Amino acid sequence: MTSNPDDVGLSGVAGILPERQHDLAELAAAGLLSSSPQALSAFGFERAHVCDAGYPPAEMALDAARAAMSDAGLQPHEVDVLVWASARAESHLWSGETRADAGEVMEGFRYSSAWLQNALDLHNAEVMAVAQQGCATMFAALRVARAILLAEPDRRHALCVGVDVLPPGAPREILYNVVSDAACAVVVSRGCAAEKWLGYRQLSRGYYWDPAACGPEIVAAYFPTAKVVIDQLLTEHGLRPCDIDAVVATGVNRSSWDILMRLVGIPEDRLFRGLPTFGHTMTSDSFLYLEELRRLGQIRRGSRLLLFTYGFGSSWCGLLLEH
Amino acid sequence: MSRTVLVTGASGALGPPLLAELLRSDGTARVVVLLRAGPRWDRRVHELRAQVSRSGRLVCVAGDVVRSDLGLGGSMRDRLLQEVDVVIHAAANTRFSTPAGDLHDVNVEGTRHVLAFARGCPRLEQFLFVSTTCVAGTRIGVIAERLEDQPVAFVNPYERSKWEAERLAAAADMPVRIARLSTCLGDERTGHVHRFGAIHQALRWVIRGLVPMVPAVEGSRVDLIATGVAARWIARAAECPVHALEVCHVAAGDRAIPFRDLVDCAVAHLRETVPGWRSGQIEPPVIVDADTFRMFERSVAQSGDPLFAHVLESAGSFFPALLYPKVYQTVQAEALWGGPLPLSDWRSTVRRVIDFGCSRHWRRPRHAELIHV
Repeated sequence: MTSNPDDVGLSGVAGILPERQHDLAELAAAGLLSSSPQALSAFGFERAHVCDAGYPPAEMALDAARAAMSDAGLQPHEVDVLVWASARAESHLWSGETRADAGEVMEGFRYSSAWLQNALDLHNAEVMAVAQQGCATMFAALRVARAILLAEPDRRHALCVGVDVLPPGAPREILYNVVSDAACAVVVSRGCAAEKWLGYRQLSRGYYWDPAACGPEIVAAYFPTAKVVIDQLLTEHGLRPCDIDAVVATGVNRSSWDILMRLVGIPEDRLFRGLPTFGHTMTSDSFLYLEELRRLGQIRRGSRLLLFTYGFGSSWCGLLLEH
Repeated sequence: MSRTVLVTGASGALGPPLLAELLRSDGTARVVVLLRAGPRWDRRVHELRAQVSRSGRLVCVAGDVVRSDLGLGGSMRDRLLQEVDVVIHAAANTRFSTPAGDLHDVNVEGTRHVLAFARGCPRLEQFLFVSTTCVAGTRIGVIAERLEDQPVAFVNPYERSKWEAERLAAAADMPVRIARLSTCLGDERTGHVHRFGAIHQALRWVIRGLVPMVPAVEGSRVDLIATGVAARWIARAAECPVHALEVCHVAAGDRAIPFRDLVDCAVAHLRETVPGWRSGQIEPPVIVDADTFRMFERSVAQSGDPLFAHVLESAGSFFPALLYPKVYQTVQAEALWGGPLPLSDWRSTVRRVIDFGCSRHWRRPRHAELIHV
């Protein structure tokens, strides 16, 4: 397959879920759900993957990054840019042991991104982070990575990595979604025809900046704003809904995807939800499913993929790729 | 000036403007208002008189349509029986979500009791029953100004109760006119709404950004009239003799508003006036088909979210009608009026009603506002 040197695509994709799992009954018994297990089951949730001390978040991120680089066929020295991307503020700090002599201020500078660069020996990479996009943070990271590659021709590969875990004992339900811990990594490369970047559309609505105060408003705004984003994305690229070959879902409430597919007019059988029901992982959902879609190899080359997500903040993001 | 008009339901959405119109008429000597007896009766009388008129031509009597004798004392009942020329029966429970039994008690049995009273009035010229275009239920297409023999499927128990009440009125051995009112939006000049109804509740939740989608079909229209139009038509009808059963649609008819135009008008106004909308942050609801809306309803039900359940129940009283597009014939209503009904500029009425509702947080006005007679 030939590629244009100016094409930007996703050359490597990987997601990591911790092995430890709790089913809905266990989560409910531990008081970690606000809705009934029956209601959450009806929404397609079965369990949550939960990080534990034996496999800390930093290790998950490291494994995701290694897997994505392997998928892209990259050696560490070939990575030009490392973009850390996590939804939760805490995830931007290294999750390993604290130093007794560091002090509170210095602890705040122990960045996950820098640790990862060191751990992976990405000695040619420039390091940065993207934050404050909630579950859409990885989408924003990919966009930043692509912009850098296009703006600076001597950069060729950007590795975007994120991990998000909830604190031990934290509620596992957010706005009717069961939340799992996970990490993901995506390599964005210039001159790459795989998952070629076709377009991106984001709407940010600061009116909904405080999810604790306007949860119902966010739930209600989700559908109309999602439709606007997807409609605009397709229109900008001269596409009709039926031109989309696959919609890569997130792990949120199944019924919301069923409804959204109808709202945007894309045939329902084009929704790819993947097999595992891991719930919602904040930043990693779309890439866990994209990795599976690539692995299954059931989609023909040239197919158009739509990825969509919402992130607290609030941002609605659509990403159009060509497989 | 000769007629004595008995009015039920005067504290409802239509009541104050209707009383004002009746009192404006030279043909009306006195308007007797049957107000539900109870601990707040004095206050309601005070509010009504403050709103409409302190004139002696407006008389308030305590009663209740759900009681077989209308809750009138013997002497008052006897006196009214001898004096009343026209009965305008507008009392109804219009809360669509009320249990069917309660709706039946007020809307059907209440009508039966008022009819029984009217039957005893030797001077009765007319029993004017204020009904609703909603009795067409799930019918689509052109809706004629006549009683339908076959029962239709109804969207909610309110519609059924009013349909049953119409049947009772039509079967009564007296001069009956049935005025089926369309949705009364509010005052065309001020946007004032005396009692918020289903459409206002729907607007309220839309404006708060809590309605993600609305079910409608291609060609859905919303039949809206200004409250004053309905009041003026009924006041005029009260003076027009009726010889045989007459059914009239006090409605916009073929001038009803395409639903998309209504949404566009409301959104344009909200984007000029309401924070959140003004900055373009809140998107208007998506217009969806019935199946998609049902999926959303099911999702809300599964979640058990009390706020969305309330929004759906409240706004959902208005939405289902959009799935059954229809045009109300207005031939008889216009014949009585003497020409096309004087519909207001619906866009300005919509804007004013939105402004009024937002200024009152979509709650019933706490202080009565004067209606000039």
